[in-house]
Amino acid sequence: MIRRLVCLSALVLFASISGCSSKTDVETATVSPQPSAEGEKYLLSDAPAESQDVIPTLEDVEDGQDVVVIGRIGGDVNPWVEGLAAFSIVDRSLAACTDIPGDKCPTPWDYCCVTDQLKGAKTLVKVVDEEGEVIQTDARKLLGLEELQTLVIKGQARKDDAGNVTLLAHAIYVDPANPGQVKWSDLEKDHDHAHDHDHSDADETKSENDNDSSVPKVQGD
Amino acid sequence: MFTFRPLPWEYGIRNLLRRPLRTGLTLLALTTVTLLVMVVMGFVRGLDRSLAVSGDPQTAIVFSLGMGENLEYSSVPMRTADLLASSITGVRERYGQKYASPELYLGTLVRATEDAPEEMGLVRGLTPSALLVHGDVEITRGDWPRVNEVLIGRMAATKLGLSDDQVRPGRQLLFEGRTWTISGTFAAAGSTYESEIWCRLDDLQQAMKRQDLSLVALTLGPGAEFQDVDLFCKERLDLELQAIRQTDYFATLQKDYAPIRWLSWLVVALVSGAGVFIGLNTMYGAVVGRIPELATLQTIGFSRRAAILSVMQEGTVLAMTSALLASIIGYGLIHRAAVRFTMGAFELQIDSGTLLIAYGIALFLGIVGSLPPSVRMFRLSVVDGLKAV
Repeated sequence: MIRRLVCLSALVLFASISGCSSKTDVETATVSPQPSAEGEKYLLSDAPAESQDVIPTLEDVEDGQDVVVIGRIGGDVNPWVEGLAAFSIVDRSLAACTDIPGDKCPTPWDYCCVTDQLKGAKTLVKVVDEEGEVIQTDARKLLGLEELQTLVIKGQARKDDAGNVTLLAHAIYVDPANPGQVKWSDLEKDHDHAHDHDHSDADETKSENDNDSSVPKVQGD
Repeated sequence: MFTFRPLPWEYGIRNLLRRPLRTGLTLLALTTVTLLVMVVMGFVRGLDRSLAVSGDPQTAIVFSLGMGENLEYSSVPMRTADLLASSITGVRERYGQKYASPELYLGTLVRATEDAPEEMGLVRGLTPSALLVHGDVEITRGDWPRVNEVLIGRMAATKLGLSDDQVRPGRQLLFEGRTWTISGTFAAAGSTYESEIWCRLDDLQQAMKRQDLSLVALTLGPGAEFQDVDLFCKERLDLELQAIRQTDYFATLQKDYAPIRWLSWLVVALVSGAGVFIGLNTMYGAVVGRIPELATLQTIGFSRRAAILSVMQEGTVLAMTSALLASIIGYGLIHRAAVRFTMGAFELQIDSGTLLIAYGIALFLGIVGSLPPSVRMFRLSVVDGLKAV
């Protein structure tokens, strides 16, 4: 009797352990979000010519000026405005955590490794309709966007008295290549974390990279 | 099947009373197990409740960017409250007063007298507009604090390790280099605010030589959405603000305590497991000593199933009696007992959910504890059973 009980317990234990650890490919597979029918009209099939990065745009732009700006979605743990077609973009020269080899940041789009550089390199994009009103649908559903995607925004700049620039987007081109960080900037500052994450691999990779002249140098901590 | 005749109900009950010492000891052990389950469950339910009731979905917390969920480290300019109230449409308003509460929040060392040991307390400096935003707050004793006075939450004494007498109105507390007189106490429907010490915002700013705020709490009116606040914070990058729904803020705190909750459930499982073995052991002993009796029952015409049912009835009656005793003790002694915790203090909750789980576990103990000895009895032939005299 006791032997049977022990066998049964072992079986249940084994089943629970194997049940916890096994994940099918279907479960782990990710599906890219698709734009809604309403959102299709705001998406461009070809990249607009002569786009400008976020930093130079923020430095030079005037209120009401037509702009074509390129940047990556991010700059915050939650770069989206829930329920509205509005989100933050960041200059491509800044390194997201995914641009740092070996970094395991769970929210790489918050640019936690370069928070001190975000000021002046981040702006809000509002997708507006013909009347200039922000569309009342979440940008992720409307345009099928995801964090860290590279976008070219065609629209108009709004600049307030405090110097804050908001882009009123009329059309958006989503770069399918999604090249990631474009310019490898000289990040001199140490990692300034808004949250904790494991950098053990990043440290190892960095020390390996220090000895490898072919790898562009990006400093984490 | 249709001629199944169970043993009389009284038979099982009388059997329990035939061995009062063994029955009493088993009852004591099962009551202890059920009570332990109740205490752990009461802890989990109390912690959950204190965080669940602390948020209002129509209230947003605005604090400084990049602070994660650490409001204590947040610093926003004093003008932020007025700026938000005037810039965001949809902030609730009553008789011209906006539901915007500027607050300075910190954890600091508090003591009752000069020579008393210091304890970490949670202090919040606010204006009377806080009563608009934190609608569940009610002053249960005394008055709203005047200069150099503090209002004490219902659970603050537990958090500070002080007696109720030490926090009654008129008594004093020392923190941030000042002596503060207690003006009254408040309740907040069991939320985490009840472990805090509230004082006037300007008093706390002067005491700390600060001119900033930690956060601004805004309550939105009907029809207004949190996205309006979020959009403002993301648009006004010069202010370096971020917004979070009050409910989301407490949900993140709840998530942080998930390991503790899992640990508590593990304790419940272990204690219940121990209970099963106690029941098994006792019932095994009881049945083994009664094999001839049970075999005799079969000889006079009762089926094995009837005998097993009677054994299970005994186990279940014993376990449910223990659950009843445990719930009387639990409700009388443990319910609403104050517990100190990192973020404050909360009350153990022996509520309907706790009782349901405890009774469920007791029922499980009663049935499962009786099964193995019953199965053993099944395997013995009537002749062998009678020979075991």
